[in-house]
Amino acid sequence: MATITFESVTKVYPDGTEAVSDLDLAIGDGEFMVLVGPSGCGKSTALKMVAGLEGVSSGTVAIGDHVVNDLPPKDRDVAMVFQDYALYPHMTVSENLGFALKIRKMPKEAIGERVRHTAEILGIGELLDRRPKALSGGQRQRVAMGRAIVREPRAFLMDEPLSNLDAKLRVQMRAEIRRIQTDLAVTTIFVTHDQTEAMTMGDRVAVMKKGLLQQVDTPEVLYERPANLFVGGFIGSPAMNMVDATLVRMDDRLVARFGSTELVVDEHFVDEHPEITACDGQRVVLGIRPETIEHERFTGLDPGGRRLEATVDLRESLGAEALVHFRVDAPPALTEDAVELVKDRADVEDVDEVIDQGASPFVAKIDSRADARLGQTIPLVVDTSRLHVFDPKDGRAIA
Amino acid sequence: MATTTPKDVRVLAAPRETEARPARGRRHRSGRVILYAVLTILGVIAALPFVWMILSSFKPEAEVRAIPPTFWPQEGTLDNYRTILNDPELPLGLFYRNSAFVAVMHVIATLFTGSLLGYIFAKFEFRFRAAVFWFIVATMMIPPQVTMLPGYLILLQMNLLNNLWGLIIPSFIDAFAVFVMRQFILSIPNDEIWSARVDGASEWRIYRSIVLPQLRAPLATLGMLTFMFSWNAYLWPLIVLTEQNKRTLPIILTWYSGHHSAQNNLIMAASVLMVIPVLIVFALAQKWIVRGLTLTGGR
Amino acid sequence: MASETIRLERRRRLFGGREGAQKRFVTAVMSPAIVFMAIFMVLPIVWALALSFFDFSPRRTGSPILGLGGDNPFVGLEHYRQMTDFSSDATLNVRQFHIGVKVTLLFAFIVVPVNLLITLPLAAMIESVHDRARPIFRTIFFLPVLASSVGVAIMWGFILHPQNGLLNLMISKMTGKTTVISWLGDPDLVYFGVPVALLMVIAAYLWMDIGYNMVIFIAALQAIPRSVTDAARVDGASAWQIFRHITLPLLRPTILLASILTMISAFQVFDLFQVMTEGRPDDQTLAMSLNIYRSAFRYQQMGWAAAMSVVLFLIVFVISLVQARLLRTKWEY
Repeated sequence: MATITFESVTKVYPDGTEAVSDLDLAIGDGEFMVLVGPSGCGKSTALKMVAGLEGVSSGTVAIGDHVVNDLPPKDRDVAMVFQDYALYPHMTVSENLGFALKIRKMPKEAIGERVRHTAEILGIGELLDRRPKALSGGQRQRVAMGRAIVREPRAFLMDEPLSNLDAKLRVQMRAEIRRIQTDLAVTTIFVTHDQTEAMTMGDRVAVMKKGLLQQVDTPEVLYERPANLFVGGFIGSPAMNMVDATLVRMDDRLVARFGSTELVVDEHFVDEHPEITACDGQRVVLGIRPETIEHERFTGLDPGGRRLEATVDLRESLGAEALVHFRVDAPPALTEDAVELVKDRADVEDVDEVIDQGASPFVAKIDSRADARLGQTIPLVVDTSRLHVFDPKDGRAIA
Repeated sequence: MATTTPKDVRVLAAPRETEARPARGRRHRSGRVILYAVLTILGVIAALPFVWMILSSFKPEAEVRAIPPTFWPQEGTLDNYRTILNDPELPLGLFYRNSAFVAVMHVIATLFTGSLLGYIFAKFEFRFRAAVFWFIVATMMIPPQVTMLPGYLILLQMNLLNNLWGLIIPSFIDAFAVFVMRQFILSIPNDEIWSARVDGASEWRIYRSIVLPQLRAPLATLGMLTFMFSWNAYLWPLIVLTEQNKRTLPIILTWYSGHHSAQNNLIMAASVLMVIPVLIVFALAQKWIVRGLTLTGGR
Repeated sequence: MASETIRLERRRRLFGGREGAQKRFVTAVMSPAIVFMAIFMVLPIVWALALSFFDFSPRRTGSPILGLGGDNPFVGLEHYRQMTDFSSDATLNVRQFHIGVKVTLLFAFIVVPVNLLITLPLAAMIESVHDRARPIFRTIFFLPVLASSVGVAIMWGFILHPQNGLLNLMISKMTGKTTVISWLGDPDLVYFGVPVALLMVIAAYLWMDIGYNMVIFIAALQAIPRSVTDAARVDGASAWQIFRHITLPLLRPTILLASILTMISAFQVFDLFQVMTEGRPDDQTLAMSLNIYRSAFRYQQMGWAAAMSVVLFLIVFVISLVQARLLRTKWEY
């Protein structure tokens, strides 16, 4: 059984930086777990601790039943795929693939057999006699994977293996890696900074930030029920819109008010999240995903209590859909994460300027047939049963 | 404002593991200890000659001549240094000046010609470029013993013998410097040079303002190495400089130790004066040299 | 209107046209450079070769052509022919030439392998040491390179002094008896056919030169990407296996380069021989470089010296070629 378990794992570097803080994570046998997060969040460090390339400052890392903290990498029976592939430059492809087996004194014929078999799986059979220098990026990546597969290890550890490939190849390889992993049923930890990659590939995804685990769950849950502002803004593209809003009780309903907009929170939503009623009169951070905003003409919902007026700043066509950028006349949430999200918006040049104006940049994903030209003011409808409410003090999700 | 997540929000799909067994396999510290021990011993051996030289320079003559000799000075004294510095036949200031003059001129000349020629070979095309360049490189392989005789005769003809310039001029172009500079300049994007041309800069201006500033690292390293080799040079100055007052330090040192062959205390003090100051300067600048040397990889 | 077209005035310059400025620049730089190289690089080589065909002394007057001919008669291949005279009544010159070749070859062929056997592991050791300790060790081992070779020679001369030297002092301390071995002066001290005096010069040279290759190897080791050694570690290789299968093969080009350069330098060593032993005892440390210098500047036999220098060059050249061929490997990966 090859499960991988982190128990209260912390990694502190000699200069004081805490790369990983108190990580608790249990990965099941044969599971494809993705570690995702912005650079510096500790995901690669966590991976290296499983491989044994970094030591553990406190806590335990266990593979299967055994705590492996003090075990050197060579005794852990895990295979790693590096971001720069790390192929042995002076060896041919088949020598690269067979190196680990040769070290273990496997007989030559057995090595040859395994190498050939693995090369076939990956479609690199003709490249066996070439040197890494003579391979394309995609081919090198496959050799790197082959090196891991041929060992039949207890676990695969992959450190951003697709980051150096061009977009099309990346999408292709994602599917292939997933297919191979499912066939081989080997426990895998996959590190990436690309949330799309995480969402499409992982059985479960662990979101990390600055050394702390934010949330770990299936992609669907992460999308629908983010545990905090950071996760909400990190997962999903285009990113979730966030605005400083106040929740008030009006008549029998809960209303979210921001700027000149008033949205009535859907009853079902309130029923599912009773804790939200406790926020009567309070300031919250309201999160609205672009996919949940539609042009009035094409929405199936009753516009009552769901209206949002928007003056189009920018329109990007995606074919069947269009991304409409506009500004909402309410200040953005000023938590650290929200501000960073605002900064990430491509169309916002000067964050401070926007904030000073007291407006928040928003994006809506609407049907491309809608009439939404630059400068036009269009009527939008928000699906208020798919709102997200966060605590403005610590970014925690309230609902 | 950090956003943390309470543990209860996370969903753990797999059941928690049972208590893990204590770790197997201890980290082998003994390997590292041996490593440091060996390096330290070797380091001591490497430093020992210097230490011996310095210690002996502080011993009086009687002690240096004692049998069996002592290691640590029993009677430390600065007399040796006083003798040398006050010796009328040994105007150290003059010799330091000679060596310094030659070394500095040498450095300036080498860096200038090296960078200029390196630039030409790297970024310009002309007939016989490859031939000339590889010829220059090939000259590096010729033993100085081959060229020193004719070199001497040439200087004789030019009446530059026994003249400090006779030392400097023949080494105006240093093949090694040209080679290294060319390597570095090759990595300067051509576009930068072309855009300067389009902007109307003259070729000299381009060399001065675009190429040269980017060569700080190799220039510094080459400069130090050239200075060092020039300062320590013995054979060529020996051949060229025939008058005492024109001579450079290494020759003077040998002359002095020949003169006082029985007084090793004095000889050691003289050696210290010649060898140690340079070492101290370079020990401080060592970061620079090593970094540059590794990029040039030459001797 | 007259069809006097506007004539573009072409300024008269050495090189006109689009690339004129560049061509002028190249000319301006290369012309003096070529002249310089002709005088100080080409001429000496040609002259040295020519000298070797004459019996030449700078004091005598020869013909106006570089002083050759006249009182400095042309002797053709006479010098070279004499070098092949292995009979017992060959002149002192020739016998010393043979000794010189032997000493120089012995010196080089001992120095190069010993140097590499010390510097490569040393570099590997220093690289695996803690970050902060590294510069210290690097400096300690590199300092001897910076010391003046003359200073080094004098220093070692004193260390090896029979009565007052450090070496005998240490041996005395260890054995309890007062030792007065004359390391550099006793012609009867021979160890496995190699004169001990020569071994001492070798030791001094190694001490002085190790820092150089060490730094080169450290650089080469650092050029191996960390991820490659990490991959090997995860693949299951022990430290020794990593060294043997990964590090060493990747280092081969550097080893070859260092080997050739060290060899070339070893053939040209002069300072140490001149100052430490001056060829003594009994010509046991009479290296070719020393011999050439003496013949030319002390005995004024420049023709003979030139011939010897040509032979030295040929030896260096041939050995370098052989080395390159033997240790040849794919230069870059």
